[in-house]
This record gives sequence, structure tokens and C-alpha cells, in this order.
Amino acid sequence: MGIELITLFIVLALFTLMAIGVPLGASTLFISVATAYLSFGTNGFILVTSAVTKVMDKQALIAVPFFVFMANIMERSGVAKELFNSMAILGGRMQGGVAVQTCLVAVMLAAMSGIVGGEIVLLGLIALPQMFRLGYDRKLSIGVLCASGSLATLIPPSVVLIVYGAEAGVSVRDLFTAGIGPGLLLASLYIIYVLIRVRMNPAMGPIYDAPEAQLPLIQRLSFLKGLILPFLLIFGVLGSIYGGIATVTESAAIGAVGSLLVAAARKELTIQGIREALWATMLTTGSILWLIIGAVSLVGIYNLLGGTRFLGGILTGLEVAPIVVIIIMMAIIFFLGTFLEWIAIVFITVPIFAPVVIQLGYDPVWFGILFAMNIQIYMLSPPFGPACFYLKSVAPKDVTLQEIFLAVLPFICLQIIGLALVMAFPQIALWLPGL
Amino acid sequence: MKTFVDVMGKISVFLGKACGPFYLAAIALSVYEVFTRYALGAPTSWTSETIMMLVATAWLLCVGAVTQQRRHITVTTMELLIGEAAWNRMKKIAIAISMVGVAGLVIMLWDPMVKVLQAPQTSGSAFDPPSPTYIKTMFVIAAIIYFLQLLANLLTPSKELSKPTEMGVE
Repeated sequence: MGIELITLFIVLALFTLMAIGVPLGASTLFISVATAYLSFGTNGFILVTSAVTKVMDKQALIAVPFFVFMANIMERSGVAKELFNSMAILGGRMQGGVAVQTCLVAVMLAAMSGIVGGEIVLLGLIALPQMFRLGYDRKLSIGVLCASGSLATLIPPSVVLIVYGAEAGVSVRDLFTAGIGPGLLLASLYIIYVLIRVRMNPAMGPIYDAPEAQLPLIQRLSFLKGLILPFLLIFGVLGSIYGGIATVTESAAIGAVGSLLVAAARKELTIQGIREALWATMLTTGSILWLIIGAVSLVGIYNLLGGTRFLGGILTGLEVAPIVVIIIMMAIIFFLGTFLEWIAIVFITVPIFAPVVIQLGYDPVWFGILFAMNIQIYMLSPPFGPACFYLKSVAPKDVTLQEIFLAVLPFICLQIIGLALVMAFPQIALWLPGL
Repeated sequence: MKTFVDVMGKISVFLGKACGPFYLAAIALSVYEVFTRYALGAPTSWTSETIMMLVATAWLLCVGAVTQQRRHITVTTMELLIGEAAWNRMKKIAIAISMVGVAGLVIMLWDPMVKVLQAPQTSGSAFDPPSPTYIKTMFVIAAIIYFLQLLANLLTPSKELSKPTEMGVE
């Protein structure tokens, strides 16, 4: 059987198994076992085994449970609420100020933990009720919250960039540095969009009514103290990486210890809280590992059958400009995002795409950033946009999933504009790592 | 049958909870390594591989808990199209297919494990722990736990199974 037919069978089998409710990790595992047996007999098993056991050699992946644990501790502490309140007061009597502050708080939360789920849940619990209470336009509130909460895929220490770096063999530190520019670009686009909308229709973003927000700026500066602990945490994580003191994994551990210290300083650290955070971390990271094992085992056997070479050959053989090949890759990632989890997308596509990107003369760090921006679009896109589901889980009952998906549409357009800008001007991502 | 389901569920949840402190130990060791390297100027030769083995243990052994709690990421859109009764039957088929995949993984990993147990492999680093032997053995143990918990889920009436984590909600 030719590789073309095998590719077709694999895709069809994946669709079928997922449709009947087989978990994604088990689906890829089943297909890889079947493909190995049908292609090489029992000898095929040995070939896949080495790919699977090497998963544990990817040192950078160890940072993932540490960051997830950190996010779980932060979720249980009141630091995010204090940060949001302080920022809202500092914003004063600005039209649409709470939506703008939501965006800025999202950037800071992203810089603390790099986990989208935790961030959107926190913002959904803290910022959304405030905006609804003040009479903000519902779609604007929901959209800005989902979009800015998803910035964690791009702003360091992004878990997406860690996993991409581990699989593509690219420096995670370089990826982190490159993610800053595009992350801030997207945050700026969201803020500009909010400001334009409330300028056109002030009723969409009323002024924050807390008495403290009416104080003169000098007096409001005293609320800066709410930013001290978050800044210390960000400094601990990112400062240790960029100061050359710690590896990404070690900085994640520093962040985890830092989050425990922050919770302790706020007198919110309990044994029960740590137990709950560990349990939540085990369940989240456990499911991630089996997704990786399934994807690695499938790609391992597909690679042995010449599939990676086949797909890479198709991409490099296209008689189009190299940037069009990149656009095609982005379209494939976007398509896969409509039915696959992002971790599986990384482990399935990166082994195929990364060599092609280098062959076309592009920087794999730049491609990693495009990849993360695309994953950010996937976070909001129907039918599975995880960010929308995260928000739905904590939003007031009258907020429907349909309303959330409609609300994020303008922000998806902004994300596509951001992606196009970074594609057209790679220096947006690459100037910082190049310094 | 019910005894097996209950006992397996308890073992899975116990392992999931018991492995939590492994992450705490790994975090503490990572910070200790940074301290010894930069404050004392005396980097250790053993922390990196110890951390890897601690995280690998926790990561692998929690598979039973993840399966018992149905936290493996699954697409459940079909339930809306075909209704609950048909979906409950499909759940059983999905679990059976998962079991075949995991059984295949056990078979794949078995021989490499037997080989390293007969002739233990070490990492070859300065610390030189038997990490390849350990990881390959842990992989087989984890895959067996995964298989047994899937069997327990298969034997559990569909209505009693907890709702799976939908895609993206993780």
C-alpha cells in the first residue's frame, strides 16, 4: 500500500475513532499500534517503542506540570482579584476603562503562569461580573475577556511555546523572547478596538464607579501596592530565565515556590489548598502526557513509513512562493484545530513542518511564534474554542455558548490581523531575540 | 465485578493523590539546584536526573486517576446528534477500542522492559542512575494500570460513569 493511501486511512480512522468518543490519546495510540502491526508485523512495535520512551527525555516538558501547579495555586489565592481591583482603580474615570484594565491584567497574569484555562477562569470570576454590573456591552465584555485571556499562549512563560520548543528543538528562551512583541501587539489591538468602540458608543463601556476611582491620580497611586506581589512573581520567573540564572524548568519551579510564598504572604496557604492544587495538576498533566504518547507513537510509525518525507515533499514541491507554503501550513494547523487538541497538533505537525520551514530559509523561532498565534485563534474558534468553554464554565447562567462564540468573532479578526502582521514583518517577533 | 471496579477505582485515585508530593519534591529539588549552583557555586550532578524520574513517576502513575475521573480529552459532539442511549452504547465501544490500543502499548513496551531488567541500563552521566531501566519499567506499569482502569470503566454501568472532559475544557 502506498503512503498516500496509508495517510488517507490514518486521517479517516482518526476522525472515526474521535467521533465515536474514543479519547484523543487512545485514538492515536490505537491507530499507531494497528499501523505498526499491519506494516511491519510485531517488529513494528519495537520501532514505535523507542519513540514513546524518548518522551521523557524532553527536559523542557518537565516545566509544564510546574507551571500548571503554579496556576492552580494562583487560582486559589486572591492575588488576581487584588491585582484587578488595583488596576481598575488606577485606570480612574476612563471610558471603557475596566475592559482596558482586563486586557492589561490578562497580560500580567499570562506573564505569571502561561496557562490559558486558569487565566480565563480567574478573569471570568473577577472581571466579567464587574463589567456586567457596570452595564458594559455584553459582547464586548465577553470578547475582550476571552481574547486577552488567550494571550497566555504567546506571552512568556507560555506552555505552548515550551511544548513547541521541546518538539522542534528550538531554544525555549528565544521563543519566549520572540513572543513578547507579538503578544503586546495583540494586546494593543484589543485595547485600541475597545477604545474605538466605546468612543463611538460610550454606553458600551461606562466609567468605573468605585469611590476610589474618583480620587486624584496621586492618591490612586497608593493602590500600586496591589501590583507588588504579581510583579515579584513575574520577576522571579522571567528574571531567572533572562538573567541566565535558571533554565526554563528551574524558573517554573521558582515560580511554583513563588506562588506558594505569595499565597502564604496573603495568609491564604493551607494544606488543603496545596492538596487540591496537586490533585488538579495531576489530572491535567496526566491527560497531557497520554496525548503526547499517542501523538509521538503515531508520528513515529508514520515517519518510518516515509509519511513525514511524503508530506514534507508535497509542501516543498509546491510551485509557489515560500511564504505561501507558510500560509498553507497555517491553514492546516487552523483546520486541525477544529477537531484536535493543540498538544496533539504540535506533536503531529511540528516534525513535518519544522524541517520544511528551515529548508525554505525561514527562522524556526519565527515559525514557532506564528504557530502560537494560530493556536491562539484556535482557542477562540468554534466549534471547540477552549477559551469559550473555560468562560462558559464560570460565566453567569444567562451567558450562552452561542453568545460567547458571537462575541469573540471581532477578536478572531484582530488575531488574524496580528498573525498577518507578524507574517509580513517577522521583525515584530525577531528583533528582541536578535538584540 | 463490582468489587473489582471499586478496588481499581480506589487504587487509581490513591496513586493519583500519592504521586502529588513527587511534583513538590521535584520543584524543591529544582530550586535547590539553582541555589547550590549560583549561591554556593557548587552545582550538583544528581538533581537533574532525579527530578526527571520524580516527574516521570508522577506523570505516568496518575494515569489510573485520569482514566477513573474520565479526564482524557474526548470529543463528545456526537452525543448531541445521536441521543444519550446510543451514546452510552458507543461509550462502551470507545472504551473497548482504547483497551486494544493500550494493550498494544503494553505488548510494545514489554520486551524492552524485560531486556533492561535482565541487563540494567544506566544513563551514562556523571551521576549514572539506572533511569532507562526505571522509565521503561514505569511505562509498562502505567500502561497496565491504564488498561485495568479502562476495564473497570467498561464494567461500570454507563450512567454511573462520570462525564468525560470535553475537548478544550482541560
